[in-house]
Amino acid sequence: MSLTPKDKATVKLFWGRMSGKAELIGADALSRMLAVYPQTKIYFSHWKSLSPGSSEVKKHGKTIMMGIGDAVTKMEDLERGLLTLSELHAFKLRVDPTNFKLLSLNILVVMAIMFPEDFTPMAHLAVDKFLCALALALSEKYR
Amino acid sequence: MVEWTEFERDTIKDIFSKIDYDVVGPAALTRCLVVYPWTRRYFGIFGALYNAEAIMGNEMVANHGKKVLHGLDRAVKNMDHIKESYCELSQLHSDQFHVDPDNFRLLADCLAIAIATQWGSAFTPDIQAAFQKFLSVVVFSLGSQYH
Repeated sequence: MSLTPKDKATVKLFWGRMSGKAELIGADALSRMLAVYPQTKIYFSHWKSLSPGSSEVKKHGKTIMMGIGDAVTKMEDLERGLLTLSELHAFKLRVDPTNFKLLSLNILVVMAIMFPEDFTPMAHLAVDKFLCALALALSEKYR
Repeated sequence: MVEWTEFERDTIKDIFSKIDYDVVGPAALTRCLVVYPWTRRYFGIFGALYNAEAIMGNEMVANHGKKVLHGLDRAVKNMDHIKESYCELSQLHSDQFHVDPDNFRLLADCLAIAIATQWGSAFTPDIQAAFQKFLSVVVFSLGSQYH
């Protein structure tokens, strides 16, 4: 399910429109994931607050979005580009990789809210493919 | 049995009282067929499904989308007996249509996104959580009679 040139162009276009609101979008997607999939809270049990407006959620939402934005610039070789992040998630954070798709879905929901007209089925397909490829690259160092 | 909070019950009733079946149903099914192309295997009789434009313009897809969304009505009316309500439909999807039950989850995800497109920020995280919990119970129920 590799990305076509059109897929890559679509992702870059949307990211261009989103990068200025990285903290808001990331916090929203993260809040939604924590609400819809409560099991994901286990990775943040050290936070004081998991509520949508909390400073931890906002900060981490921004961190995630910056990571994804970086991945957008490394679309030609995601596996190599995300090697360090993969090691982090595999060895230090030890996030079960099944959770990546849970966050991906919520990023898509936020995009649907932000771009009701432009987030067409084709755009959705391109971004979903990218997020799947990203999740795969992030899982690379797990075993 | 599934435990529902008052907020969840109210939210589900509210969503389905406001939802535009004619828009959201077709939008969700269309998204599913475009984003997850392998799901097209179940709709061979619908004719042209070879690309996004064909799917989006296909009247049979649109009608079926409305039908599928209305298929959730029984769960809305019967939130304490959802599994029982879908016994027959589950058998149908298993024995007659041979639908891989993982696809129910994919369609449910597309439904959440279709509603997000319609409602915007009114589709808050708590409302989304209630809606997706409701859908996950329906998805489970639809897969429950597979053998």
